[in-house]
Amino acid sequence: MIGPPFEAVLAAAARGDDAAFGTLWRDLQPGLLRYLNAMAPGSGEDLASETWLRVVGNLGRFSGDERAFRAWVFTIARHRAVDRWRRGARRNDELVPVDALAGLPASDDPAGAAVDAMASRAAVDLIATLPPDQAEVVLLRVVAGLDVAEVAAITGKRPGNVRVLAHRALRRLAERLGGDVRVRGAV
Amino acid sequence: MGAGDVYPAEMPNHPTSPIPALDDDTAERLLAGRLDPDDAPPAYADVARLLQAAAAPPSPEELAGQAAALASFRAARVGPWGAGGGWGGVRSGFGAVRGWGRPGTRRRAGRVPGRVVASGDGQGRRLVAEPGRPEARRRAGRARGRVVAVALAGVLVAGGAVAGGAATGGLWTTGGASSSAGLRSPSGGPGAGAAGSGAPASGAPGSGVGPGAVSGSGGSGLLRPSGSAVVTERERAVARHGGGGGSRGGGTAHGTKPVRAPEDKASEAKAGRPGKPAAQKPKAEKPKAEKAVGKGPKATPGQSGTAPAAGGTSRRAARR
Repeated sequence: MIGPPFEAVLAAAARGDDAAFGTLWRDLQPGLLRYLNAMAPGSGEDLASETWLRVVGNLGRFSGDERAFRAWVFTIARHRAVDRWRRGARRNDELVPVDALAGLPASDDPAGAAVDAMASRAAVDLIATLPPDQAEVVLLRVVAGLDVAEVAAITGKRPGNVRVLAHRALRRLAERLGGDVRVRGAV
Repeated sequence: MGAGDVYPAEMPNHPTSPIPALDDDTAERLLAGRLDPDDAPPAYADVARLLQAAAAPPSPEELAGQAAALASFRAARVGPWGAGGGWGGVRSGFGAVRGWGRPGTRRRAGRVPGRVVASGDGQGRRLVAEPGRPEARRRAGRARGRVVAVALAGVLVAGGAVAGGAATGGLWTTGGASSSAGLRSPSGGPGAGAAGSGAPASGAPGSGVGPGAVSGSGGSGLLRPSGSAVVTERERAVARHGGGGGSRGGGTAHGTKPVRAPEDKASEAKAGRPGKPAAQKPKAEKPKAEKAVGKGPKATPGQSGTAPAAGGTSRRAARR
């Protein structure tokens, strides 16, 4: 979350300020990727790019606080994921040569970053094994940081239904974690 | 007998899951990341760790695309020529997206003809007008206008020919007179006669109620070609009158009646011929214009309905 400076950052980004847009992007992109990777496996990067293009196009017309902005961005992302799902996952894979990967930036602690990324990815993958509506509710609550009302508005469900889905998802996760050695290792 | 020997539905209503249900508050704190795994219920400690891992801070791998995202942002930067142009709005119950509408319509309406290119001064994109395109559009518009005009003219001509043909048996084959020109003839001379009857013979005296009457009504505008929109008072009067001379039995179609000398009129009045103005006067509820048509020495075709002398003469004759 950006916090109090959010309004200034949003206004600057709407005016075309690169640094302000970078702040918004860094705040939201990880959650977007995790959510989209779980909802549309293999298409998360593409869908996140499409989402940001939409966001940039409408940035000047958005007004609201930070929570509303997060909910708006994830609404766009969900629409993109649903569109992709409707198209039957017909997409063109772009092959990248291995040499291009050498140019990617490395962190100070690559091994630790890899472990963290694996843990995070394993957690999201485990959540993605839930029934789709339960997985979506959990991801929007946990990854996107939205509350019950916002998730209900995004998914088109009633707040009570969202709560019930979340309870069922948590219990199911507890059951699976109780006997799944592989996931235990990842967590 | 164990639980695996029967179907679950046949078992008594015992809880099948060893995991207890969470209360709302605990579940809410768990989902919001405010519940430490050590404080969580024993069965949910791993779930708390899992959710913390899912909400972990971003890894460098996840932020690797920032440069590409910024480049896209610069390329798709919103400019003064189209706020939000290129992308439709998104319905959301949270933030208000101003100017929401059907994607595409607003975008097209506000678009300036031209080309968006990347500027080299770091200010993002700018609009470069293409001088050829507006001119080409104007030319195409003019061409379309011309086609529409030609089509309209064709429809008018065809409509006039059809209507004239239905009325008179073919205006374009009889004498070659233009129907609209004849109908609009203010003098009621040969033009009117030719248009109304479609044949020069219709204007001949003594043709009776045959072709003259038919031609009179046809020429008076009852079957007017669609192209002629002006209906004069005289034409209305003639139409009500049933074709002028034909309806009176005078044997002449209205508008083709030759100008007779006053002495001829006087001799006709003395002889008491049928169809004289004096004999028709009792049915005088018709307007003056109708009464005056074809009557009196001054009621020449060009002055029908407008000559006060004609009306005065007929009133005097009626008194006599």
